[in-house]
Amino acid sequence: MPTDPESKNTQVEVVARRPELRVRLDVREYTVELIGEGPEDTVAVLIDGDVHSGSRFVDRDRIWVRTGGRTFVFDRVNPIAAATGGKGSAKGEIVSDMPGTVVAVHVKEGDHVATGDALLTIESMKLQITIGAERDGVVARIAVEPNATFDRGALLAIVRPEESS
Amino acid sequence: MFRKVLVANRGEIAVRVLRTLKRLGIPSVAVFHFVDRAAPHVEMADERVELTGAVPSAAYLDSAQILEACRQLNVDALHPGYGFLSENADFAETVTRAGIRFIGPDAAVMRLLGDKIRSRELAKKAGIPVSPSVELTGLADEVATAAKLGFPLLVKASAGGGGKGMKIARDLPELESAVTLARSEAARYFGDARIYAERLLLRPRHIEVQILGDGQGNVVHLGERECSIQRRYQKIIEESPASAIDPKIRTAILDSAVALTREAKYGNAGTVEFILGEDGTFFFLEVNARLQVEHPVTELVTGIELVEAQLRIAAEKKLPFTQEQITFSGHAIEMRVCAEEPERGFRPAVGRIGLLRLPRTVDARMDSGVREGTTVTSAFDSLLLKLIVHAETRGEAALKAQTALQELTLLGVSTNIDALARIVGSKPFRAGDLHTGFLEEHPTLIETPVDPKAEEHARIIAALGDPDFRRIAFATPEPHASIGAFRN
Repeated sequence: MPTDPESKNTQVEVVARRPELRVRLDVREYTVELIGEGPEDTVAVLIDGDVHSGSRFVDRDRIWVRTGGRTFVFDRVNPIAAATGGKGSAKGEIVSDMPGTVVAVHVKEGDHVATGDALLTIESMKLQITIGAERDGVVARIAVEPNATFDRGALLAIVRPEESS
Repeated sequence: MFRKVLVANRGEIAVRVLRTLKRLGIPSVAVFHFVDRAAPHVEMADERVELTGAVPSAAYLDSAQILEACRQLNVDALHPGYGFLSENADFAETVTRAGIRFIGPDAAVMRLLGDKIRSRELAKKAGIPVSPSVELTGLADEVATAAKLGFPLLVKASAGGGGKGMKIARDLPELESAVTLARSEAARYFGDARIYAERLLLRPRHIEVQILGDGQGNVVHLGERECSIQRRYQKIIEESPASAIDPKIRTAILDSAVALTREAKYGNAGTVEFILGEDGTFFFLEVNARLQVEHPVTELVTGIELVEAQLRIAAEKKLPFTQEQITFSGHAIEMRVCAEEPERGFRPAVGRIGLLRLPRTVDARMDSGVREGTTVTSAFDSLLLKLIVHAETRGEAALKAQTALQELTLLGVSTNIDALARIVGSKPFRAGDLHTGFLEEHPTLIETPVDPKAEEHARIIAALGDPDFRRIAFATPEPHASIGAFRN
């Protein structure tokens, strides 16, 4: 059976930094370590103790990887934008760049969050993007529910800075 | 030899010809369309002339502009490469009349061999087997005559093409119904009910012979090439010698090629193509009156530099060597790396080559018309480069080919590299069980499921190699530090 890359969550998600970096892809977790970057855009990593290396080329929104004698092409979502909610406003409003669907809501109103904490996972243009907090603060509002669809420019959530006391 | 040679082509073949000119110290001229202004062939030539055209390919087909470039830069010979104007007899004639040596056969020979009917007649005259056929005009005894050709038969529309109106008949009753059906379809599709039947070769192999002639009737052959691995009727893997061929049949094919081109008084390099059936039956297909894409496999097994031989024949009007001086050593395989998506019906791909790394651990020849930074457009053929390997045995050559392909890195444009690697690494290829329907018979070589684990490893490499991902992964509080999303 050919795998259908469209059918699964294929984010590379950091689940722990210490004692070792652990990432989750779909259902599997891996302990990973960056060994180094060589010349000619090669990257060597340890994945569960085994060395894997490959060449990378980033072409705007796509990332090409050649490893193990095979070429893979992935869409690249800017990790910083994804982690910080794209076009966040000064008021802490998180507004979507594109129309999409809410896959999951990871926090509730009133939660205290740190920069980068996952707030929502959305699916847009066949991409799953997890939106993270762009600042430390309190979740003032979650404007959407799981499975809800939204248009470009829709308000998704508001994170207000902690009240200084 | 020559004062100055203009190369009327682009891409890998222009680079290939320029390399020889450079080695021989002959000044060179490149022609180019604006879209190719940064192409390797333009940089490599001593002089360059821009050609204009409504579409880029039209520029390379514009004989008047090319001829004007020859005059302006005072060249005395022109190499046409393959494709474009290479087999245009009128062009060859015009070039010759302008006092410029056309590096290829004479216009008259080109016309003779370019005509399907005349070249078939010539082949028959030279005693070379041509696919027997019987025209079916509707007379009572025609079907019986056709049946005598031997089954299976292919019934085709005379005005046809693209497989429309084609029927396969395995016995007489099938032939009778095929004739009725084909006739009505031919009338419907082409407005012409004429049909004919010809012998159908099952699991046919494409075998061709490289020849060199002096134009006076002296011809030598440089062995055969097998080009049975094809997609969309175009070759993608070629080798020399042919795999597992009966030596008697091989000799008969080589002799036929020489006899035909001798009869035609062929001058310069040419290729005689044949189709070979499972039962050893072979038929003449056509003559390609030019250098072929797959010429490097012949160069590697004979040690003869074909472009140099072409130049010498064009300059001296005699063959640089005798048949006895041509020796064969080892086995060579060529793989055509094309910008395309094999898993989507080999649809041509476009984009910019962002990263290009050659094989490191095996010695492979690369004939390339691109480099890092080259933008691949749909304006031209999808061929980017060719990898050619040579080894003592076919098995070693196939292994080398596979390693070379696995090590070749070309990122930024979709290519057939991985599919080629699977083909040369496959059991049926290694066994030499080749025929022109090879890829239809083994579709999994094209559409191979991705190993999910390998894909996840690739994603991790993609993520950890990304400075933005690393910044977030290592710089934010945990747990649930951050997320990068990568998706196919």
